Amino acid sequence: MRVTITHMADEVIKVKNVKKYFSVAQKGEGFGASLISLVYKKYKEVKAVDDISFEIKSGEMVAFLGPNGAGKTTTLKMLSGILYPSEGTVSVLGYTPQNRQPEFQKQIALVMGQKNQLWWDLPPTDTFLLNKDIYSIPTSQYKSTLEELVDLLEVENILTTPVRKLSLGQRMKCELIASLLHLPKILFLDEPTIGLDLVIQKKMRSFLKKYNKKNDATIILTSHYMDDVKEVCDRVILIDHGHKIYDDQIDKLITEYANEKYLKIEFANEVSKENLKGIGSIIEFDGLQATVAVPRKDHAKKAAELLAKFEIDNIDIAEVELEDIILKYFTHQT
Amino acid sequence: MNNLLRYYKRSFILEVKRTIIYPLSFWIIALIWPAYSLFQIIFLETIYSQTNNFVGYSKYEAYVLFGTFTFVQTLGHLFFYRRLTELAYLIRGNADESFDIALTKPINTQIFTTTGRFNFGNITAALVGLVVVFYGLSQEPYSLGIVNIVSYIIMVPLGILIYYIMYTIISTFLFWYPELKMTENLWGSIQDFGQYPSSLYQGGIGIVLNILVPLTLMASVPVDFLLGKLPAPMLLLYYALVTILLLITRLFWNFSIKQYSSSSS
Amino acid sequence: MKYVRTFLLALQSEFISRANIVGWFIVGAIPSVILALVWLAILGDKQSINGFTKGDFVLYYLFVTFSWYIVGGNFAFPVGNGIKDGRINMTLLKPYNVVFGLCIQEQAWKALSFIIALPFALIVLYLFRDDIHIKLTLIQNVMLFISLILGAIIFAFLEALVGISAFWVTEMWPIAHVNDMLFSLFGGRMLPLTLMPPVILFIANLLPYKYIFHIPVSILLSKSSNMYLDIGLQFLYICILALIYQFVWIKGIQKYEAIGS
Repeated sequence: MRVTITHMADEVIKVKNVKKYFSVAQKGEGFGASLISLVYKKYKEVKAVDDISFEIKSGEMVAFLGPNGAGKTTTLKMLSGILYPSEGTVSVLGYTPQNRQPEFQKQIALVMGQKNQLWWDLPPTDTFLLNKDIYSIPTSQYKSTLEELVDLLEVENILTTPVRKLSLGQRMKCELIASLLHLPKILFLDEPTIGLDLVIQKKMRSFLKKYNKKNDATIILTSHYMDDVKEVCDRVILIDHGHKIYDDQIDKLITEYANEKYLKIEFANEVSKENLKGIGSIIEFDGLQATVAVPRKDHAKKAAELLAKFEIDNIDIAEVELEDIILKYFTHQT
Repeated sequence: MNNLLRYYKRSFILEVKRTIIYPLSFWIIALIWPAYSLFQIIFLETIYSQTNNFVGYSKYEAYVLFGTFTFVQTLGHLFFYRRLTELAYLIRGNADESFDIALTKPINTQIFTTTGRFNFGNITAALVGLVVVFYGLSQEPYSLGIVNIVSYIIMVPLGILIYYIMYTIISTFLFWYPELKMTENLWGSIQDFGQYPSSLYQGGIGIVLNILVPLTLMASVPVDFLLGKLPAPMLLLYYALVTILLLITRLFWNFSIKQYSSSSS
Repeated sequence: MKYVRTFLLALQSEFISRANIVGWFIVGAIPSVILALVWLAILGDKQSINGFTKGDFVLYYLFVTFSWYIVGGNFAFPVGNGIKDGRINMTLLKPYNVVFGLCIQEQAWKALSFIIALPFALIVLYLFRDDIHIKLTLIQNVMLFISLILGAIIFAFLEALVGISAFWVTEMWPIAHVNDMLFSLFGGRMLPLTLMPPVILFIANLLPYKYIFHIPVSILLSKSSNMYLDIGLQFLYICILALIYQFVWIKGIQKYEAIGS
C-alpha cells in the first residue's frame, strides 16, 4: 500500500481510523427459509469501511476509486454527515459532519447522479430561489453566482422549462447549479456523470475544473468513469473491501505501477500478428493497426525496432490506461 | 427561525405556482373530499335515526364534532400529508428526491422533510367542515360564552398539531424499519379514532386515546371546550400535553435518524 | 403454477418485515373496532336495533375485518402506477396476466393478516360468547364460503377496472378513492345496509358493492331472505364486470404507449 502523508496547515478533511459497519439480515433461499426468518433472523455484520485514514487539503481534487461495494460512497456519506461512523473520527472544515451544524452545511454541497433536488413540475429557477432562501444567500451574490454558473454550464435557454421536460444532461447541469449557488468550499460528488452522454460528461468535467480553480473548492468524487478521474482529479484514493489501498497523485500511480508503455502503431500495409509477437504483448490487433505493450525502460528501443522492421504510417507512445492499472491492482497482478 | 420562515414562504409560493400550472389534482381533491363528508353525514344521520344521544352528544353536537374533525383533518392534510407520505419513499431511497441530500441542507431536517409541501385542494373540505360546525351550532340553542369560543379557537391548532405529531411518529419508525409499506394506511386508519367523542373510549382504550395518543384532541376535546363540557383552565393541561408530545416527537426523530443507513448508490 | 410462484414470492417478500405483517393487520382491524364500539354504544341497554343485537354487531364487524383479509386489498395502485411509468412493459411481453399477477401478489399480506387475526377473533368470540349465536346449516356454510369467494372476485374486478383507468387518466388515485368511498358506504363496510336510510339502500341495490360484503354477512347472520338469489346475482355481476373489464383492457392496451421507466 502506498500512502503519502501531508502535513500542510490547510487540511480541510481529516479522517482517522474510521470504520463503518452495517448489520444486514441474511435469508436463505426458498419459502422454507423465509418462514424461518419470521421467527429467527440471522444478521451479518458488513464492514463497509474498515479503518480508513487520510487527509485532504483545501483545493485538492480527489477521486475515490474502487469496485462496487468497496466503501467509496459510504466514506463520502460520512464526510458529508449523512452517516455516522461506527468508529474513528471525521473532521471536515473543523466540524464533525454528523452534528450537521448549519455553519458546516453552508460550506458543503452533495451532488448525486440521478437524484433530484429540483422540484419536478417547476422550472429550475424556482428551486434555485428555494436554495437561496435555505442557504440565506444575499440577493446580489445569488444573482452574480447564478449568472456565472449559467454561463459556465450554458443553460440560459432552459431555465424557465419545467424540470420534467429537461433531458438528463440538462437536469444534471441544473442540479449542479442548485448545489453551487451558495459557493460551497467542499463539493461531494457521487457518480455525477452517470448516464450522461460523452459531450455533457466532458462539459461537466471542464466545469468542475474551472469551478475548482476559481473558488479554490475542494472536490471529492466517486465515479466509475476513468475519464472523470483523469480529467478532473489530481489525486486518487483506491478503496477495496473498506480498506484504503492506495493514496497518491494519479501521475505517480501511473509511473510507479505501470511498468509498461503502449506503442500504438498504424501500418502502411497489413502485417501478420506473428511478426509482432517478438516486440511485446499484443493488446489490440486488426492487421493495419495494433497496440503493443512493451517494458517501460525499453520503449524507445522497441519503437526503433518496429520502425526498422515494418513500414509504419504512424506510431504513438502512450501511457498504460489508468483503468488497466487499477484492474491489474485489484486483481493483484502488479 | 428566519431560515425556516423563508423556507415556508418560498415553498408556499412554489406550491401555488405548481397548483396553477397543474390544476387537475387541486380540483379532484377539492371535489372528492367534500363528497366524502357527505358520506359521513349520511352515517351521522343513520346513527341518530337510532338514538337521540350518542355517548352524551346530541345530534347537532355531533355535527359540530364532525365538522371540527373535518376541519382539523383537512388542514392536517393541507399542511403535512404530502411531505409525510413522501418521507417513506425518501427514506427507502425509491424516490427521485434524496433523503441524503436533505440531510446536507442547513435547515432542520425534520422540518424540511416533514413539512413544506401543501395540498391546497383540501381547502374546500376544510370550509365544508366549518359550514357543518356552524350548521350544528345554529340548530340548537347553545349559550356559548366568549371563553368557550376562545378556548375552542385555541384548541383547534392543537388538533392540527396532533395530526402532525402522530403521523410523524409513525413515519419515524421508517428509520428502524425502512421496509414498512403501510405507514400512510396506518395513519389513515388511526385518525378515525379522532372523529368520535372522547367519552366513547373507556377504560384502557380511553387512557390510550385520551392521554397517551390523544387523537381525541383532534375534535372531541375542542368541541367539549366549546360546549362547556370541559372547564377553560384545562386548556393549560392540554397545551402541556401537546408540548410534551412535540418534545417526544423531536427526541424520537433525533434518536431514530442515527439508524438511517441510506440506500446504496 | 406461475401464479402460485408469484404468491409464494409475495409471501416471502412480506416475511422480510414482521413489522409490515403486524401493521397491515392493524390497518385492517382498526376501522371495524371503532365502528363496533360506536354501534355498541348506540345499542346501550337496548335489545336490538333494526334486528341487530349486540352479538350481531360484534359478529358483523368481526366478519367485516376477516372478510377484508379475504376479499379486500388495494392492487389498483400497483396496476395504475405500473401503467403510468411503464413498469408493466416487461410483464406484457411474457405469457403472464399482469393484472391477475398483481392481484395474486396482494393476497400475500392478506393471508398473513388473516392468520395473525385468528387468535384475536377467538378472543373476541369468547368474550362475547353469550351474545353471539351462530346457527348455520351445512348448506349455509357452503353458500357463505361461495358467496365470500364471489364477493372477492367482484371486488377484484372493480379494483382492476380502477387500476386500468390509468390507460386514460394521469391521476388514477381520485378514482381509487371514490371507489373506496362507494365501497365503504354502499358495500356495508361502514355499517349494515339495512340500518341506512331507504334512499341509500335503494342506491346500494343498484351498485355492485353490496354484493361484496353485505351478501356474505347476511348469510352469516341468517338475515338473507333468499341466499340462492343473492348468490345468483353475485354471479351475474361477475359476468357483467368480466365483460366490461375485458372490453376496457383491450381498448386500454391499444391506447397504451410503452413509455418505459
